[in-house]
Amino acid sequence: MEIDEAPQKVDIAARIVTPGTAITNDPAFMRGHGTFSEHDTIYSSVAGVVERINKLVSVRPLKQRYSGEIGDIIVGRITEVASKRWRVDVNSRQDGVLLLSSINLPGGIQRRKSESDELQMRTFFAEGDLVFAEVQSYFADGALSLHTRSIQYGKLRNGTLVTAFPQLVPRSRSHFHTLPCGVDVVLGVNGYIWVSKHVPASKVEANAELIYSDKNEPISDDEREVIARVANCIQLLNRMYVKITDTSIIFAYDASVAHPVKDLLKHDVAVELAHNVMAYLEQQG
Amino acid sequence: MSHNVVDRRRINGPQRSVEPVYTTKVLDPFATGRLDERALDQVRPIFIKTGPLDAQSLSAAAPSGSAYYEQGKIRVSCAIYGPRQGRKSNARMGSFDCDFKYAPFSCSWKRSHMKTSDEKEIALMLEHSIAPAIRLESYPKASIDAFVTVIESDGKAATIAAAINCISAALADAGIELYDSVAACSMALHGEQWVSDCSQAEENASTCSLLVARMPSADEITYLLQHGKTTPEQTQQAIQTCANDCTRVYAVICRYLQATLE
Repeated sequence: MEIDEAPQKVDIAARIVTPGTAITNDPAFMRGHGTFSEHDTIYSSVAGVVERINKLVSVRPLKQRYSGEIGDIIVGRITEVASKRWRVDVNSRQDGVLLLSSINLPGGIQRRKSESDELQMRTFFAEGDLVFAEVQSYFADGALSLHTRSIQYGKLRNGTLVTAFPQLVPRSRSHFHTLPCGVDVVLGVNGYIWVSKHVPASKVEANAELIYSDKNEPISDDEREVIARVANCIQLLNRMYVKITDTSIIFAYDASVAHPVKDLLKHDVAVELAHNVMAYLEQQG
Repeated sequence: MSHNVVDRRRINGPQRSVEPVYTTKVLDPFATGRLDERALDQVRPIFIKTGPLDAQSLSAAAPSGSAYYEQGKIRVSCAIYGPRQGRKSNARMGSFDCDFKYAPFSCSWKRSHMKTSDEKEIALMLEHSIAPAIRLESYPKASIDAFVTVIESDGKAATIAAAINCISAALADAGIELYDSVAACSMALHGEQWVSDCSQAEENASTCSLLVARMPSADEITYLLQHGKTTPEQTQQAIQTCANDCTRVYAVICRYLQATLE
């Protein structure tokens, strides 16, 4: 067991630790995420890098499950229809909850949800459906409560899901992007990313039934190829541990045009593209 | 009917029977030191790699952490899923479940595809040795699942120890909160001499085997298993030596984890 003899003199930050390593025994420090304290000593509980903000000591691991914050935009998959609620897999420690009272009815009708709504919950969301939602609040046990009370949230269709490391998707002003290549991307901060055919918002607004529709629009072969290319670009950024934002996806897409879609995930192509993207992002600052 | 009529239809045995001659020499793997010329208290060389199974799959079916572990001829792989929604919906603490499987080709005889009772028993042992190290109270309602596959085994106690070490590395890779990594080590008694980390041949020739799983930083033993008869003094001595070996194995795991983060 190693304990810093003089924690005041040694900078504890930026040290790499493994679970059970003593970080400091200075009582002035407070323990943050990834640490626990015993006998006035702070130990790390994960393998990662020690970070210090003023007196708060935390350890950041390389990989971690998504832990939600209120206001996060996420993509989830319905796992269970329960009474007055859906359970949603959100890539987190436990399933999120989407209450019947926190969804919009088709056509945006404002009223209390009745028993008949409860009986036809599967017509809104059934098991396996993907939802685009926002984190509304926490429950007492830390489970996330979601809501879809906006025209842009709701059921996802016309596309494909890509799973990435949650820490690679930064929180930003907008998580719904229409890329110049004619593809819509929903960057869920929980690491679930939805790549789909571009459907103008006006079309959905015009037809209220479309919000909970299970039918895909007709998607041509060319559109499918573009969707697949964007999905592979995101996957390669994930594998090479590059931040996934609209800029990095657009750049990776532009750089990837020289290669056929199926080659994008080959190791040497992926490395080359990822290096290009990283160089570009650095240039942009 | 006279006495000298011989039954010609059947093959008759000889009139006189003699006891077979057994060889008095039992094959002793320790006759001239150890088979692989190790010192008696030396653990086989260890190789660890984390994350071999992670990038295999595009979907959410990819594990959240994994590890591959070699110790001499032993090869073990482990995948960690979770923390994810558990089956019990109102549990205050998370649960840790373990699944242990010998690959059919992993032993000197063919293993069954079906899970056998000894594999279930080992899975339970792994759960008991690892669970105290996980901060399960920070994962309410969640479950963490470990799937261990033995690709090659060499010595039963040593294989279980390797599985424990492999799970520890995979848990750290998955970013799961631990009080400490668990390191395990095994020994066997040969005559009056304890021998560290025995292979199958050495284990067969021994009279007693001992397995210790330990959290070296916290200085706590999480699991202790002994097969065979010893005196209390011998056991005490073995636990002490095994604990020291665990610390050395722990150092290897920690050094590897630090190297991957750099």
